[in-house]
Amino acid sequence: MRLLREEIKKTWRLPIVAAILALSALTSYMFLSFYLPVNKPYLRGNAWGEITALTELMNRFGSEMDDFERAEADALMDEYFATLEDYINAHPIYAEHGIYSTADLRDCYLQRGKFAWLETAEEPTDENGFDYHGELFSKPLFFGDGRDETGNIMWVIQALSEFLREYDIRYEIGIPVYGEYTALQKERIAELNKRESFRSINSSYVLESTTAYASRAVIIILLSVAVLLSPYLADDNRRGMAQMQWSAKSGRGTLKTQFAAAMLSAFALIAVEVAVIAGLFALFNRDFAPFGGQLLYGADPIPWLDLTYAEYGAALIALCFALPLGAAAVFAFLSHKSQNPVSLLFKAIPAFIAAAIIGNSALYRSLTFGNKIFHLTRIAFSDVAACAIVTAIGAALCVWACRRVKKAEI
Amino acid sequence: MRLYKWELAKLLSAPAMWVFAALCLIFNILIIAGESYGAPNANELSRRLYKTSETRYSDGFDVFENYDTSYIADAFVKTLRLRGGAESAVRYKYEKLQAAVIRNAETDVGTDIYADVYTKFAVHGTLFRTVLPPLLTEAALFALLSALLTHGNEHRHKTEPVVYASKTGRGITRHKQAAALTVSAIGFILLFGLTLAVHFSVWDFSGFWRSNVQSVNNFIFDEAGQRPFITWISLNVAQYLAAVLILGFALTTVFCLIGGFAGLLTRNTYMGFILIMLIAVATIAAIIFCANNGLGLVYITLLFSPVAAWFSSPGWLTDMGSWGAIPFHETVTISLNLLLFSVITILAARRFKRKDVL
Repeated sequence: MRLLREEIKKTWRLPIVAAILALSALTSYMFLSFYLPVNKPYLRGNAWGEITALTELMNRFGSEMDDFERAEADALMDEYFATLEDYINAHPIYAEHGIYSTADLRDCYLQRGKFAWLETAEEPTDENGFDYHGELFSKPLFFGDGRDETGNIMWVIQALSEFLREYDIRYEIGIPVYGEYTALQKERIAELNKRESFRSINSSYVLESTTAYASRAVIIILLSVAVLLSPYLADDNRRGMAQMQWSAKSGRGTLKTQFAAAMLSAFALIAVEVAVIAGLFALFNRDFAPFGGQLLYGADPIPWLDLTYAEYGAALIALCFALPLGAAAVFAFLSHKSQNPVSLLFKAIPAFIAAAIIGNSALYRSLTFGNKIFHLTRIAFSDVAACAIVTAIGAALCVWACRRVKKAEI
Repeated sequence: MRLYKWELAKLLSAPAMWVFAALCLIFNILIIAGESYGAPNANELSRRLYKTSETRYSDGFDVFENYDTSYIADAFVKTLRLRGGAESAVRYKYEKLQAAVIRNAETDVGTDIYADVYTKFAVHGTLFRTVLPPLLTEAALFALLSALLTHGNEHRHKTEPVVYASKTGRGITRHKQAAALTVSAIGFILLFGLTLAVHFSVWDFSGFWRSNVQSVNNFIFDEAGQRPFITWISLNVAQYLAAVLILGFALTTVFCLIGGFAGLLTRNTYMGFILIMLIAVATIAAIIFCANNGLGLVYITLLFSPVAAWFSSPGWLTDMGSWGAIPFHETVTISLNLLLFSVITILAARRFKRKDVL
C-alpha cells in the first residue's frame, strides 16, 4: 500500500499538474466555450427559438403531444404570429423598409438571404424553377444585434413550424427509411413508428449540442491523461531504476503496482475533469433541464436505445471515463517501453491522436444513427465497441508488460 | 563535417522517428481514403477537360466584375471591433485585394471551370483543406522532435562530460542543429512526397493543373459570408501547390529552429516540448480572445506568430480573412520567424557555451 502511495505521488509532479491545468483551461476556452453560452451566443440562432418553442409546448402539453394538442399547437403558432405582427406595427423601421406584415417580412428574408456578392447575377434556379439560393440561405438576418426578445419571435416561429412539419410528416408516413439503411435500422424505425415516437417532444439542437460538447471534451481529457502519464515510467527507465526495483522486496511485481498507480491517478484526473466540464455545461445550459426526462427519439438523429436526455448524458459521461482510462493504460505502457522522453513523445503523440480521433468519432452523436463509427462499420453500437476495444487494448498491453517483466532476464 | 555526419547518423538511426513517420503516413492514407468518395466523378471531369481543353465557361458569370472588397473590410472591422492602427491595416489589406480583383476581372480568371461543382468540397478542398494541413502539422512535429532529440542526446546518454571536454566542446551544438535541419528536410520530403503520391494516384489532377485557383467554383466562408477565393497573384493549381509547399518547408524549418532553441535552453526535453505546446495553444487562445474582445492591436501582433501561420495554412496566399493583417501575411510571418528564430537559436547556442555547470 505504501509503495502504491509513493508511486501515485510520483505521477503528480507540480510542473506537470500546472501544465495540465493550463492546457485544460486554454483548450476548454478554445473548443468548449461556444457550447457554454456565457454571452448567450446561441441566442443568435435557431437554437434559441427551438428551445423556447419546445419548452412552451412541454409546459402546455407535457412530454408528448396527442392529436387534440396538435391542433392547439397551431393556435399557439397563431399567437406567435400575432405577437410578431404587433411588433412590426409597433416599430416604424419596418414600414420604412416596406414591411407591413409577416408575409412582407418573410419576403424580405428571402431577398436578404441571397448571396450579397452575387447581387448582379441572375437568380440561380434549376430547370424546374427551384431557387436554391433563396431556399438554402433564407435565414432570418433582419434583426441584427440590437434585437430584443420580442424581435426574436421569428426564430421561435421558424422552430415551431419546423417541429410541427416534422411531426406531421412522421404522423402521415412515419420516420423515412432510406435505401442504405441496415436491417437493424429498419427494424428500429418500424418499432418507433409503431410506438408513435413522433409524439415525444424533443429538441435536436439539445442533443446535437450535448454530443458535440462531449466529443470535444473527451479530447481535452485525453490530452490531460497523456501529459500526466507519459513521462511517468520513462523517467524511471532513463534513471535505470528497473534493476533497483527488481531487487527490492516487492521485486518485479513493482510494475503491476506502477500500472495500478497510473490507473488510479488517471481515474482521479478524469473524475475531476469530467466533474468540471460536465458541471459547466449543466450550469450554463440550465434551459436544457426541461428536456431531462424526455425520450430522445423525438429528436434527430434517431437513437438506438429508448433513453431519456438525462440517461443519455449519463451514458456520455460513462464513455468519457471508459475511453480515457483505456488510453491511460496505453500511455502508461508506452512510457514503460520508452528509454527517454523524446522517444516517448514519438510514440505518445500518434497514440494521443489515434485516441482523440476514436474518442471524437465515438462520442459525437453517440448511440444514434448519426454516429461516424456506425457510418463506417454499419454495425450498431460500434461507437461503444470502439471505446471498449481501446480499453481492452490498454489493459492487455499492461498485463502483457507485467508478465514479460516477470520472465525477463537481466 | 565529420561531426555533422555522426550527428546525422545518430538521428537517422533513431527507430522511434521512423516509426513516427510511418504512423503519419498510415494516418494520411486513411484521410485520403476517407475523403476519396468524390474522386470518381472528379476524375471523369478531369479526363474530359484534359482532352478537350475546355477550361472556361463561355457564358459564365464573372464574380470579379464589379466586385468590391470594401464590404469584407467593413465586416471584419465590425466583427473584430478594430480601431486605430489595426483597422487601418485591415482596410489597407482589402484595398490591395481590390487591385487583385480588378486584375482578375480583366483576365477573366473567374470564369475558369477548375473542377466545376467538385471544386470547393472535393478537388481543391480535399487537397488544400483536408490533406495538406495535417501533413504540415506532422512535418512540423517531426522537425521539432528531431531537434529536441539531437540536443538532448548527450544528457540522456550521460556523455556530456566527455563530449563537452573534447576539442570541439560545446560547439557541437551547431553540428547538432545542422543535422536536425537536414533530418527535418528529409522528413518533409518523405512525408509530403509519399502522401501526395498517394493522393494524386486517387485524384486525377491532369485536367486541373492549369486551372486558376480563383475559379468561380472556388469560394470560402468566413465572417464576411460566402466570398470568392482570391489570391494576391494569379496562380494556377500547380503554381499554388508549389507555393504552399515552399511556404510549408520554410515553416517546418521554423519549427526545427524552435525545437533547437528549446533543446538548448532546457535539460528536461519532455517539459520543453510541453512548454512549446502550451505556448502554441496559448497563442491561438489569445488570438481568439483578443478577436472576441476588441483587443485589435494585440490580436494583429499575435497573427505574426508561427503558430498562427500554421493554423491558417488552408488560406495561404489569400487575404486569409481574420487570420491575416497585411497582404502576403503568411509569407511575411514565416520569413520574419525564420529570421527571428535563427537569431534566437544562435543566441541560445552562445548562452549554452557560456553555461558554467552542466
